[in-house]
Amino acid sequence: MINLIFAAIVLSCLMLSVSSRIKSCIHIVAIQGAIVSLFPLLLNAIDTELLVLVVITISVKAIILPLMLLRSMRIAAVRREVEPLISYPISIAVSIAGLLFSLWIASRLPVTETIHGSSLMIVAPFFMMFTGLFLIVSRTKALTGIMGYLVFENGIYLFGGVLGLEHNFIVEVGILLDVLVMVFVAGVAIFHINRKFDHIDTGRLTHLNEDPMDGER
Amino acid sequence: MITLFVLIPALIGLLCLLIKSSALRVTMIVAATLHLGLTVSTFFCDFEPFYHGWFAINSASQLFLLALSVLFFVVACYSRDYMGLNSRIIKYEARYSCCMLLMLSAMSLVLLSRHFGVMWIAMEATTLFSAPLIYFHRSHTSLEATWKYLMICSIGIALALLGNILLAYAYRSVDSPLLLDNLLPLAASGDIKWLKAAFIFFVIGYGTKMGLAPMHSWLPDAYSEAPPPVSAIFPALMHCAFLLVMRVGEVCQAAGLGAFRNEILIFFAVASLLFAAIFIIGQKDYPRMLAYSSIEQIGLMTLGAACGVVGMVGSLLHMLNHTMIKGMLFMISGNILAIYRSRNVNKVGGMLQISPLTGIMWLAGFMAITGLPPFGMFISKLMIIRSMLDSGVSPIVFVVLLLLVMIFIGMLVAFIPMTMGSAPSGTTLKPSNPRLRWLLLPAAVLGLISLILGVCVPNTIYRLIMDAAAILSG
Repeated sequence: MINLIFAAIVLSCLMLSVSSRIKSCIHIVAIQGAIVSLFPLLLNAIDTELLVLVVITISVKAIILPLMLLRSMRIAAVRREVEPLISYPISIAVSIAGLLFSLWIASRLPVTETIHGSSLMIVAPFFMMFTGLFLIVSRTKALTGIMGYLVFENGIYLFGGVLGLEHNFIVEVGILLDVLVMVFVAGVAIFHINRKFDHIDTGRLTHLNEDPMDGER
Repeated sequence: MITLFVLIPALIGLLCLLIKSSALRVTMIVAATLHLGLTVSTFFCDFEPFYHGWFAINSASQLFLLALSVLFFVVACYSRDYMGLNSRIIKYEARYSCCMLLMLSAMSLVLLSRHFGVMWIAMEATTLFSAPLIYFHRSHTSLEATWKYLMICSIGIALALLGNILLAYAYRSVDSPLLLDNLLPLAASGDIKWLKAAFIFFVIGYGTKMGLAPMHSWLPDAYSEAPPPVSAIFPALMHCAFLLVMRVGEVCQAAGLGAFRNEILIFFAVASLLFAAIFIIGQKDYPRMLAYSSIEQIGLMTLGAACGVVGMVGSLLHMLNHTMIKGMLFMISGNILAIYRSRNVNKVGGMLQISPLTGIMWLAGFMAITGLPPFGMFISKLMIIRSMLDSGVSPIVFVVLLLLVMIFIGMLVAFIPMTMGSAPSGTTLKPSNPRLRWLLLPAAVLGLISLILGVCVPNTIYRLIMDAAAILSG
């Protein structure tokens, strides 16, 4: 079961780094969100608090956030591709290098307990974090930046789960709330970027530099 | 009781969305006064810890709270006149007041919480509430600055979340390991490797928010694009992140990792001073210059924090001074911008002739920020340098002094032509608005506080700083 989840996460991350359509990327992020939120059920003893937490997490990560992303996508009228700065073949090469790197890091971590007999699982969060950062730096669309942030955050969440840390209801809900507001604020920002610049291409946000500007702020 | 610090600004802030008149400005001042009153009352009565000790006040949080509260009160008074300056911005005023108050609430939560998880949530909340404030003027450039701020800070703070997880794993045997007061007595029992990793992630994560180089890239853009009252509040935000790093430092110290902590802090501090010096020299945009100066000050504070108790005292005194002086300078820069309508140093000149009061205060601010006596920063910088000599990092002292001289010259070259000389030809100066003079009053108050801190530190504050330094340096 654990190995299956590991495979699903690795595959979805690879798909994220080569997918050219924003909509399918959003779907993958939703699926990852669902996997990550269900993961604690595997390791911990199930009680009411944990169940409530999982229900809240899954509804935020797998339903609300993707819906918000889809809405921003519609508002910004993004139909074109994700516009990578790096071509797809190189993207996949970088991804695989990232996977190897994650394997290397995981093998060097002094984690004594293996998770349900599989030491592979510790690789998955690192690969997710790597993919998230890769999406942020290698794609020009503002929307892919937010997706990268979400994948990164999911990776951190999964890392906490894999290490088997105790869950603290208030803190976890607070973090979810923060992520939710972050995506909301970023969505509003995307709306304004789209209206002001007629594009949401962050690669072209290069007006601010060390030269002074005139006029009223 | 302790919850009032968070609840009052938050509730009044939400209320602001419903008010649609000039009553808004009074509302903000009322909230700021209540917050200041609460902060002052911490000196006279004990505030009980709340919710299993998750929220509590100690000397360190009291000191930072005092700086925040005073600054916010002055900024609220400044906002009242600033909003009257331009009829175009009035329609955004409700949102502005709401975000400012929510930010105050989140910053108070950062300072008062003792649980690393809650601190993280509150810190991210400050980012989210301040992002709309940067976009206040609705220009293309401010939007760009907002986007950079949002993305860079969110990712930075996400790294601090990773730090939280590593910290919790290092102390997995401790009951609720993220609670600072549970952690400190058992610090030595932790897994040292994981604690080291956690500390690095905390420094990088919250360091992004502090503006430590090389994670500072959002800072000059955000500072220069935000309206002056918001830029004036930002130093307090940086100091909140500074306190968080110091709290993790407390754990490191207690676990016997003091030397490791100091090495990391000194590295980032010197890097910050270096970046500040490079970008201040030849800088033609004065709000950006002030932003880089903030990076310099935060670098100095971090440096002091790595050099024993004396350094920590200097660093905390520096924090108080930086809060006041940077607030003052940004407020005056709002005035200069209103008069000259340019952010270019070369297009601002002869301020002493055109608006003598602004010019004198701008010069005073320059003296204060570069650490000339009789302002408070002179003493705090002296203490930081002194502590470095004591703790035997002499080669770095030389480098630091050199960088400070470079920064001094870089700022001198910009500030002197701005105030002295004559106004550059071809500039159309805005006829002086009577409101502009009122805008200088809050700035003068902040300058005066820094002056008092330089001449004699009041006994209460002195003891508070001593206690806080003893706590933070372990």
